[in-house]
Amino acid sequence: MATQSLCFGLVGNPNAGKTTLFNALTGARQHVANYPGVTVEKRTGTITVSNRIIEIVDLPGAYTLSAHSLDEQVARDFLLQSSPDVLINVVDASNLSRNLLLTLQLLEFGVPMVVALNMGDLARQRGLAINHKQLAGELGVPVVPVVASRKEGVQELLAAALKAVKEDPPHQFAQVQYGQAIDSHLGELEAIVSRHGDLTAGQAPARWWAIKCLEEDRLIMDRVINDGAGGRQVLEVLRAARKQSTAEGKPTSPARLISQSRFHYAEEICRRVVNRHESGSRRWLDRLDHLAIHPLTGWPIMMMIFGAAYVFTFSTANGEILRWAGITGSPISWIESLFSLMAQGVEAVVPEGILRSLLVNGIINGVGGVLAFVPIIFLMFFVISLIDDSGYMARLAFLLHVPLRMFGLQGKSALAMAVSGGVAGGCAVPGIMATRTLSDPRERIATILVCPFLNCGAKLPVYAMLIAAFFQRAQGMVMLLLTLLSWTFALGGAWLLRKFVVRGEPAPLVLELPPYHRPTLQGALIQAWSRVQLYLRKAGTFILAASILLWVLMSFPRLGAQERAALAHNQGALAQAELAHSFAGRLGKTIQPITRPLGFEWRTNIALIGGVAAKEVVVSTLGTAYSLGDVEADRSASLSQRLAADPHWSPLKAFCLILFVMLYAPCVGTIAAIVQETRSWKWGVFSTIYSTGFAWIVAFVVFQGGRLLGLGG
Amino acid sequence: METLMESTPSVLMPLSDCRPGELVTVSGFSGDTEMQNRLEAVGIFKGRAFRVFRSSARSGAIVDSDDMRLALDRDVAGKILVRRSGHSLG
Repeated sequence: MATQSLCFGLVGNPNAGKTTLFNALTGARQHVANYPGVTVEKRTGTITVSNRIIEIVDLPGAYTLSAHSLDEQVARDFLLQSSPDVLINVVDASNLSRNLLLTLQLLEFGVPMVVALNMGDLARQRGLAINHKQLAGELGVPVVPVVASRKEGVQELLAAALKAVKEDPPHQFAQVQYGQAIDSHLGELEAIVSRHGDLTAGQAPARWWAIKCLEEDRLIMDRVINDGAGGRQVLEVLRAARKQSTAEGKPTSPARLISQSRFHYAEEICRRVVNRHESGSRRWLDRLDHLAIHPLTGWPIMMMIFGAAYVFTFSTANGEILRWAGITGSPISWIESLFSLMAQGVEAVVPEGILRSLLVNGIINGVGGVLAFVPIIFLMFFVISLIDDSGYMARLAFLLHVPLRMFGLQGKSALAMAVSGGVAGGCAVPGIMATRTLSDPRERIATILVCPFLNCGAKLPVYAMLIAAFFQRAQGMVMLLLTLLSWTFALGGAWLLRKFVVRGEPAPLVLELPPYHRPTLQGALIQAWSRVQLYLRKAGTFILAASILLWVLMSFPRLGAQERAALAHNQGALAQAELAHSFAGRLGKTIQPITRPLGFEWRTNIALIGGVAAKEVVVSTLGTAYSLGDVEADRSASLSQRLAADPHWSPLKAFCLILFVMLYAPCVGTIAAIVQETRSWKWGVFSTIYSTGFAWIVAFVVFQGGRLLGLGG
Repeated sequence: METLMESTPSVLMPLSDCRPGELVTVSGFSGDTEMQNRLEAVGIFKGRAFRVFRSSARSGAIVDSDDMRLALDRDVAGKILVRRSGHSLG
């Protein structure tokens, strides 16, 4: 029987191997509320060791406890609010002095702590030998060497952490001495905080609050000043401290003195515990890095890596790779056949009528349609996670920083855009999820909002049908043109957003290029699965509701019994009449004045409304609207012929429809992803309006311009 | 790391003006406090020595210390003031 439950918090610098250690500690027993390292929510895992239930929390990567970034703020809030029993500080042995800056700040927190000295193998390769026992002595906390990627030292780490819980009072922690000028003020502030506040009722000791005040940490200062009667005194001490802060005879700030003291202290520890000797084994990696970063070689390398990732993802998802292995079908088709089996099952049990239509057309086809994305999401994130773990992503971000900055985006935006359909056939859902690695919130929003402009796989059947009808002789050229246009619109759209909506200076790029290392399969699988879980949760709620709503729009109100009977002999005409009679049909007619300047008539409008469920629905709805009965997306050829022969249609109209489909409101699955990733309905609604407005303007300009140029109409 | 000392006394210059292979010591910052906080957080402190791994007027600079490699865009690299302390043969 397990007895008392404990909470261990995992903290460390970005790239210190925190997530790998978390995976090694918890394995599959983790609850992923969100992606680690970049977003707000935390990942937790529960394990049982020597009859103790231990909850392990993976905190976002942090360089400091000063909340410079959202990640750091989340990590700090957790420390302040959640009272972990033990902190496990993951330290990258190959980058000790920088990692120790955080360690020293954590020690000031006063919580029992164990240092997991990770990546010792990499340090050795770099010619660094670290005396971990001596390091433990210097810091006053246990230090356990681990190699998280090979699960070495994990049991020892847990044992040390459990032992640290029992020790009360905790170890004698090392304490940074900040020098005369700071120390006297620190003492005064400490006294004020402990006299007045109930701040020290939490885990952080008075000294920590005092240091943070001297560091002029806004959020902390506000809390200290607003807490009780000490506010004025605190400000007075800070004023005095500022006056007395000098370095090398020049005035500076207390914050600078504190960070300098930490830096020197960390360097001093390193001098004592790290033994350096020459190593030349990294030289070829240096050469590789030159190639990856240089514009001439970097771009081809990037194209190759993403080409390979892309081919792997989509050819596995649609079964091409599996066919080589002698397996027929594809993950996507398996999901589709599962849902069609479900549909058949319902049809066998439920009599024809509204209930069957709701279950089959509304729920099963609607939710099934978006669940077909699941294999793509899984595979895409599996590959992205491998690339990310290898250390390449940071190089990519640096390489693309200059060109994308012109449009108010950053290097990492390119990845999200490529996944979304920058290479035709992607999917905006994993693309939008991939924006989590963007650190600047404004650049991230701009990227998210333009991802749906790119040519995802679901738009391709629409293009294919219209190209077959009107641009038969230049198919390849039109596709290339559409790819270029989608990038132009996406980058232009981003530029507009950054100019008018999510304004702000471009975020300065200060990026650590972590050493290349071999990614772990387990990590990639866990990462990919966590994304799928998030998406499935949405599918069960938001997407389900939206599918039902669209079904209602397209099925009600129903035709009267007489009209149905009159058309019963012609299924196609009946379907068309029912559609025209429905809310969607009426809406399609109502909005005709809006879409007429784009060359669309009411039947096209209905198809576009249906396309919000999933873009390929545009094809089947057009099929119904042009009274072909139940046209499947893959039987589009006959619809093509029909449209080509229809006097209402012209190549110019078809091209405007293609552009409109490319740009207008994202599909339900994508809107769900936007809402989930921005944690706000506002951006989901905004995206729908922005995209549709953008699409309208583009289609309007092209249609009216084309008519003026005599290209038809 | 073998080094050749420069014969001329070193002058204060922005990191963005340095050439690959040069050894430099951070001597000051011309950016605002927020920028300096960010740089210190990743380990760029006054007094710390770096080797310039790559630098270009367009994309910025990449610097190495013994244990890490940091990429900085043009603007950031222009705000870090360094003194040349030699040239790496490696």
